[in-house]
Amino acid sequence: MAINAIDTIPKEELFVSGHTGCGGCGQAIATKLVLKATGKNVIVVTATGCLETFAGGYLISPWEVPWMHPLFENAAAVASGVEAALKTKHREDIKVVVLAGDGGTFDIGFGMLSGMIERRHNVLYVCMDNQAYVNTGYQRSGATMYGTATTTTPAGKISLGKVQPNKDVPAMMVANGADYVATASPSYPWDLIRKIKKAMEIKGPTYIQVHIPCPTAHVFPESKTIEIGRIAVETGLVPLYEIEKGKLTSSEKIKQKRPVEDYLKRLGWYKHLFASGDGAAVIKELQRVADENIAKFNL
Amino acid sequence: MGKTEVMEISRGIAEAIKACRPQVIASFPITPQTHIIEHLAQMVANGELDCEYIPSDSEFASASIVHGASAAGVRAYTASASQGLLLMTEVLWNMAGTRLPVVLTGANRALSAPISIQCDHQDTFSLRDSGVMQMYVEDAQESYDAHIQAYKLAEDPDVLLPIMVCVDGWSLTHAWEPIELLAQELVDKFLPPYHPVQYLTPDNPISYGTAYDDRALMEYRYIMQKAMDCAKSKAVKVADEFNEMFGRHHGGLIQEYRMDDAEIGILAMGSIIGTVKVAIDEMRAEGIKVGLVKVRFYRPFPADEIIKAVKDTRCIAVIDRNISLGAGGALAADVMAALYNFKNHPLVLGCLAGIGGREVTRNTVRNIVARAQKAIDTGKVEEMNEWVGLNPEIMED
Amino acid sequence: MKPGLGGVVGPGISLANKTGTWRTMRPVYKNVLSPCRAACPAGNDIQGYINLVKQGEFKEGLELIKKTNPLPAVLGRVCYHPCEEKCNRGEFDEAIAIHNIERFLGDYGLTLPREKEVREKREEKIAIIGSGPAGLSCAYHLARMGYRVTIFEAQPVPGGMLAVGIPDYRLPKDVVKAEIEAIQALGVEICTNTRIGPGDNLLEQGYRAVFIAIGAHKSMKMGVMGEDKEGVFEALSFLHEVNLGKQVSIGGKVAVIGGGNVAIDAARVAIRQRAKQVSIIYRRSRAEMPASDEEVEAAEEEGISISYLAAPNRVLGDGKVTGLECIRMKLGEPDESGRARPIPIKGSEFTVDVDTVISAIGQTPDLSFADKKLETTPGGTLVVDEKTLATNESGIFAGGDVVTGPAMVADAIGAGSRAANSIDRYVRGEVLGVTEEEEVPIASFEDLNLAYAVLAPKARASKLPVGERVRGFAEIDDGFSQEIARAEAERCLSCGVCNSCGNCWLFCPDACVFSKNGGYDINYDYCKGCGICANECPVMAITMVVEEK
Repeated sequence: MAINAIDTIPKEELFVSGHTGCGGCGQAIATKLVLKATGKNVIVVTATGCLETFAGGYLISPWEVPWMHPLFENAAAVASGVEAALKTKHREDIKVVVLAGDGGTFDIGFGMLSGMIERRHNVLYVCMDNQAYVNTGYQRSGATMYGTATTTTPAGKISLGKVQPNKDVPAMMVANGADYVATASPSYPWDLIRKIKKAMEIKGPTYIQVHIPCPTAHVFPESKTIEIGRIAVETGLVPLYEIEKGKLTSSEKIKQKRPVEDYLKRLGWYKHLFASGDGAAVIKELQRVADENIAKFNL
Repeated sequence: MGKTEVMEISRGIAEAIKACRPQVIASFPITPQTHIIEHLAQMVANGELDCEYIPSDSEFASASIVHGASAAGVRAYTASASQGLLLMTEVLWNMAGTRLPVVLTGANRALSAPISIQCDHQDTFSLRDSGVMQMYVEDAQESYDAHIQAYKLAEDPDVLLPIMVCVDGWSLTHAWEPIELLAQELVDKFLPPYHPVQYLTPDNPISYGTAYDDRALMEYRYIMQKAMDCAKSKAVKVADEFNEMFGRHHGGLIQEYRMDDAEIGILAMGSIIGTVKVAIDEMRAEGIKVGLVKVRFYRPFPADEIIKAVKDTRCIAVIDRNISLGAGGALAADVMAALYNFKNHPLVLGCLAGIGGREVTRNTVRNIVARAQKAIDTGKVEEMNEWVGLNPEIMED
Repeated sequence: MKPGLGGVVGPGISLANKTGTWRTMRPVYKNVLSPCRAACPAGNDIQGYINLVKQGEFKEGLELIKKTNPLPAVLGRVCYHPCEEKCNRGEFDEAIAIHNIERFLGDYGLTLPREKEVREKREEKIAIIGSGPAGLSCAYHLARMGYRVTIFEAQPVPGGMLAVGIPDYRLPKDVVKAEIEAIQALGVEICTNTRIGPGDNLLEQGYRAVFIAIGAHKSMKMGVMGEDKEGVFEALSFLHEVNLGKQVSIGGKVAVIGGGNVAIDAARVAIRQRAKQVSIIYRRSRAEMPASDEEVEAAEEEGISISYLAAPNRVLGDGKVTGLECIRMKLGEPDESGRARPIPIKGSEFTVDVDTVISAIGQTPDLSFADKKLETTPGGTLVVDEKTLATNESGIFAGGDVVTGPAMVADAIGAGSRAANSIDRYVRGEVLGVTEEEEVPIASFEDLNLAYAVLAPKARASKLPVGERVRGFAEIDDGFSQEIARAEAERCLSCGVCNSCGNCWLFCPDACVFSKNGGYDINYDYCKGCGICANECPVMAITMVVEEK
């Protein structure tokens, strides 16, 4: 990576200091990177969730772009309305960008997201996937992986965490007809920026799902957010790829494959899997998922 | 003036909306408002209405779409009824809280369960706390006129609250009556293009929807209440201006009918007004001193106007086509609360009628007047809420 | 401050919320020492000049290296690069070709106009005895400080071992000449053919201070019978003659005794002198051989054979060498040098058929020039203060091989610059050697974040084909082109030194890292102390320290 590449990223901060995000917040980093890639000519809609809470408290707004927080489940629909308004004002140069958590995307907001895609609004929908309803204290969501201990799928004497696998929303977005579907990670910032820029240029519905390591919910030291994101990708549990008009057009090859344990053992909300022998079966299943990803996306 | 045509009132509403030049319309079908949005779709398809028409995936989405559009600074419209209004509820509260002047039509219909498509006011009344203004129209022409007035009122910089025009399902939405469609240039004159005070734009990056806490939320509600208060005088002003320009007055916040020397006053909302007026004329001819207060605006609640209108009666009967289950009719409760501290206020009879589409006939009105008379004679009201028109045969023992 | 209509607030009002109060640790930009720089006896800022080469700023890179080393073209050819041994990249894939990059800069420097004399000169005159690398380095630094420097050189040419020791195929003479001339252009006077003797009191002759840098040019005797026969040469004298262009007639079958770089040089020169057969005889094993691996491999490639665990017993022949009796050795307990003591195996004598013996078993300084007052060690070197390089006589300093015994050219360069600093302080009446430097940590391999490095092989310069090498003294190694130098410089991991990669700025969740003066700084009003910047810094230039309340 040439030293001058960093100079290609605009210096202006569109997501400034003073927000109340946890130290080391992965979503804050991702939001910053997304806005570096989109530039100022956007309108951002954020669903209720971590981002909205720490970047939209009383007299707290770090947004140097126009921003709206409506409700938990309707970011996609509100974005549709903003996009329609911009069309009538002949300001289609302004791009509408949704930044919503996995809660507002996978579950409560899924119907409206599906509608937005089906109606083909020119909206870039970015899902910040920290794999739980973290804002309200890490309850499970449809994005939570199998075997994860959340407060509503806790590990206990007769439980090893969540019993269902997570939804594959990117695949659903492809089936829904989104023009461009991609997955990304703030630990691979150049890749994320490239993908956002690409989606910005597409005049149609686009969906990018960003894996967000969360020190608070996933339980790891604040300084390790980016490192853990990298490890997650290197296990194959977080495949990074692009699907354009239904065809897989790129995937980020894993430089050095790791077993899923490398990731799981670093996250406190998987510690129950290592506490007794029973966890091994869960780990094995997660390894299978990772291996499947590696094969499917040619990682 | 304009062109008068016999048409389904739903189409009239669509014509009114078209005349207001909305820029974004979101729709979702639900009986009995579906015809309104279908007419609008056809107008767009024929190039008669230049706007973004979005048939969405649910009422939640529709309301959200117009919320977003309004936040981005354009005039927006949607419509719903019954279950759809319930589904929109979260967004309507949100819209009011963000002070955005969206107009929607609520085609009054009963709420599930049990499911019914018949008319009553249960659905719109369930939104009475939300900060959305509510006006109830009496007839075909008012169905048209009120929507135009609604935009003007909502978009007033001192008001800036969403407004729902409540139109009785079936008896209005599906009735065919003559409606005068106003000339576009005159409507444009009455209702100029929408210039939002603030809106989402990269040129001025504001943040909508940040959190509040105990430091300031109470003040925020206070300010919203003040806007509602301000809306009262503005509503009257809008109605007067409309009358000046188009020669029609459907009332301001209320409209009095033969109340001057009335001993018995009837308070009612919506399409039954017509029937009540006819019944009153008949009873007046028989010497009964009865009058009507058409409650046109339910939110903001015209307490002062009602007090003034009824203060000299001996008993008023408030007709509620809704019930707050566990309490009683909501309009009656608001009226009673308004009158309570007023010295020497008349007796108030709460009458639950017309619920679930049960017809309110001239006999129903006579029945109510008789009960009012009984109250006057006995000097007291037996029960706070009386059910009028129940069919004993289908009730359990 | 309050929100407006509809609860709307303006952009960036969160800046009023100074989240810096949250932290318990704070990140601090603090460069630590790169291992290459720590290992370099001259103290070259290797990361610094490699970073400049990477960006194509060759002139700036040259200026940087010349702050510590005035002879980069020379060192880039002859230095045994201890920096590369310590290069952290070596644990990732292969060490950076620091040596070649230094040469690249040196050669580039030779194409530029020469640095000019300092205008404002000081009155003081300083004398330097010996124009080897230590003397040249000292002269260079003193001249840049404005002193009037004279070097007294006994040989007809300046350069010390550079001129008369190291052969051309490793170090072409015109390169040495050009870099020395660049030093002379600063106003340094070099008086060749001038040997200083015990009677010359330079301090009384008006020199404010003297730096003794005569090197170690006296060959040690083998101490075997027949050492004085015709056909037995001392390696240094042999190299001396060849380097001065004189013809030395050696035989066709040569044995070189010794295992150091001088032995290798002698062997490789011999084979170019048309010796048919050259072998090196060394008394310990390969592992203990002091010569560098590169030199040994080069010798073997040129057809020189090496016999280990053998030592000469007796030189055979009447007047002229006809053979060499040797004895096999075995390794015993370590001696004072820390290496295994070689022990002769009784009865294992054997004879090698040679007509020339070149002895290269070690060199010591020739201290005959000095008066008796200078303190010496039993081994025959001068005693100096380690830090200040001052001898026991006021105003007289010494450095280089005369103090350490034979060492690397880089050691001499480092000694010369330290001496210059000491002399400067001495002249100005300041106390010498007082500054206590704080212990600066060295960035180890474990400290680096290598997620950002990509495996890439080391660049290698081309060499003359083996067959061509021994035909003459043409330089064997080629240098790097600009493209290759820059590409190799890109591989540098910049251990311990911020190279403005921007990771800290990119990843800060609170946008409180900002650009400053080509690097970065932190807005502590908002920094929550999460430590992601330090964790993602590839070079360990950010340290987390406990926040003091």
